[in-house]
Amino acid sequence: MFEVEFALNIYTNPKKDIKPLMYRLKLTIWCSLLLVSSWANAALEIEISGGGAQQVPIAIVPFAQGDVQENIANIIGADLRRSGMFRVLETGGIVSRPTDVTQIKYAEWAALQAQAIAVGRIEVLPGNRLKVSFKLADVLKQNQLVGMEYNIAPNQLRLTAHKIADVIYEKLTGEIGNAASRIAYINKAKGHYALQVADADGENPQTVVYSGEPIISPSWSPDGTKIAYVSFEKKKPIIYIQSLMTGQRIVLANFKGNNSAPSWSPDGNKLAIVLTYAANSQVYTINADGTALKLLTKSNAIDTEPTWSPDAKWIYFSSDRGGSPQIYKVSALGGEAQRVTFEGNYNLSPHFSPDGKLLAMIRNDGGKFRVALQDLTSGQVQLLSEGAQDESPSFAPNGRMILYATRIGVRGTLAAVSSDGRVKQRLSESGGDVREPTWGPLLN
Amino acid sequence: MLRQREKTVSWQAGALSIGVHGVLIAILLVSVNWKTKQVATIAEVELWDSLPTLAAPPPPPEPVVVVKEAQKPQPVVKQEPLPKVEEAPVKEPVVDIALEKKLKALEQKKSDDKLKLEESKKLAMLKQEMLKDDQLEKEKLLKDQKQKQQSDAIKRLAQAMLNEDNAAGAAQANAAKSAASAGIIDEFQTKIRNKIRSNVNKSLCGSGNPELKFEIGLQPTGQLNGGPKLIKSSGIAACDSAVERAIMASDPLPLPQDKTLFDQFRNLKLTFRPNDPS
Repeated sequence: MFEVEFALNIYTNPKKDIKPLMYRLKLTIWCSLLLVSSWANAALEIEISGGGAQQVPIAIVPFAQGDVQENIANIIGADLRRSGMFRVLETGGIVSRPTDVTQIKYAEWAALQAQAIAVGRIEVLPGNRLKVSFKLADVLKQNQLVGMEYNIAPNQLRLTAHKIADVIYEKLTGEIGNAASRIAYINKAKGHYALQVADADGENPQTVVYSGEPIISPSWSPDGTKIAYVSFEKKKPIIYIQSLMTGQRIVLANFKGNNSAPSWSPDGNKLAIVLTYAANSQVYTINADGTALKLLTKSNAIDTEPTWSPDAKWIYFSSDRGGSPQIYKVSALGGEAQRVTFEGNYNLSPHFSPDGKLLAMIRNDGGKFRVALQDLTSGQVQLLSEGAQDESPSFAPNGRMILYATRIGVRGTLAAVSSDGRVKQRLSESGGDVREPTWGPLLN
Repeated sequence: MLRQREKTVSWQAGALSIGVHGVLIAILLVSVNWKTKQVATIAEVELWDSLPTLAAPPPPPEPVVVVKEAQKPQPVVKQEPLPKVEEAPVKEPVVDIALEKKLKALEQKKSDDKLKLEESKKLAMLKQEMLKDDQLEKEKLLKDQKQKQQSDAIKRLAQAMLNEDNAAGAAQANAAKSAASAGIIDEFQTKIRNKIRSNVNKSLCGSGNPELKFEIGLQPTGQLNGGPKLIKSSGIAACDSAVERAIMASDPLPLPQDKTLFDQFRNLKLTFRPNDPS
């Protein structure tokens, strides 16, 4: 640029009476110089396709927390590890225990190959309150990424740890985390059935409904405040909706025959349910207050397990109308059903990813019932789980993980698999026979 | 006006282009000559060094000068007897001590200074005698020299041949060196690519087909010169910072040991397509 400008200045300078030929010559020389210099300065170009890393290496330094029992750093680390997006590094070999960004000796943590580091402390405040402060720093850039403070009651410590894990997750991945969400499932123990709600890591289980008769098909309301379920406590399947805040419940559907398989619409105003009201199992819609029942499917087969697409336009369901159990869809306003699954001779229990692009289901894979994932755009199907009797897949709020029930011996237990099939894990053992898990929305 | 100017310009341009071409050809020839000479001299030096037995004989400056002496004075004596004879030794005093002494003796004898012709004849005679005396020696020397020259010529031929081989070898070596350099550059490009790629976390780059461009500067140690400079964003903040972290986590980058190649690696333009197959 400099050369060209210089040459042009000579060219346009009227005081210098140089022949046009000379101008051209100079211009040519300058241009050729420029060309040569641009060659000389040309930076080497390297193209890098693909990526070898799958996880962000992170160090969670144990918090300074005095007599507080719950090891908050362990909870955060386990959450991040379970997400599959992080490699949580062993910090035992590092002597220093920074609790604030200013205390971090970055070289130590860089040597550990950490790219991010979380530090923090818990202080006991008057009035049986805790102050949890935490900071996340970039080890490579040596700067703070985020810092948070929580003033909490002691029983909120686990939830706070999950929230911190989600802050870290979101800061480094750009997506929301799942740690501060909850799951619901049916736990059968000692001849009794319990509808339980637990943290996403399976810890902190709380019983919502307890009965000597079977309880099945729990379904979260979109805002996470209510659960619909089917109870046999009246010796027949009846659909209830129960508030998690107050424990208050209403009967949603107690029609003649079986009432089963409730599923909330994305706006929380309606549910799709299955009744044998007229004859065989058919899909209906009903308002959340139990009004405006409407028949949606009309077949001579068994139609069940309805689920709403995230855009609320479709209801997907299982049906054996074609001879073998397959997944179909019908407009939420009613109409003709269309078949969705064609691969395999047995596909059940459809469940949407939050973005509506993927459909999880249970497939009979040579006599073994496994979680499969169908890409609704391409139609391609990937088997994700490895059990023999896996059931009830449901997506995490960010779509990265799928929760399902698997069987070990005669007992059912909770398992999760990342939606790319890469990370598989079991959730903590509750001691009972755990069935029909369903992942709830994030807690605020 | 314009046309006239154009005509004059084109004439001037033609002349100038011819001139410039001439200069260019001259430069080309000069540079070519210079190159070949340089290669030859370099190769000669190397050969003499490598062959000490051949290098031992050369005190050839003496005989070479003697040959000049023998050739020059002869016509000088015939054409302009006295002054030139005097001049000859004065001009080339270092030539031959024996010859000088004889000439000085002659000058002393010449002090009578009666007949220039006689003296000149005597001088000529003396000179011839001297020359005759010397001639035998000189002939011997010449023979020796010729032999040496012949042997030198043979040697030179051999040398030339060797030089050619060497030159060819040097060219080959140069070609090989540049090829090797290219190979090394390729090799380290691949090493840098592999090191950075191993740190790229593509799971943070969505499901699309993002492309990112970074520019980095390197120190001769392979360490980054400051932070990577984002030239083109993927549109996904987490992906951009994931790739940036990958670059920084790869610090230091592998560089060739040959520091002359460092300039090639001083500034790097990195293009990332994390979701493409690697």
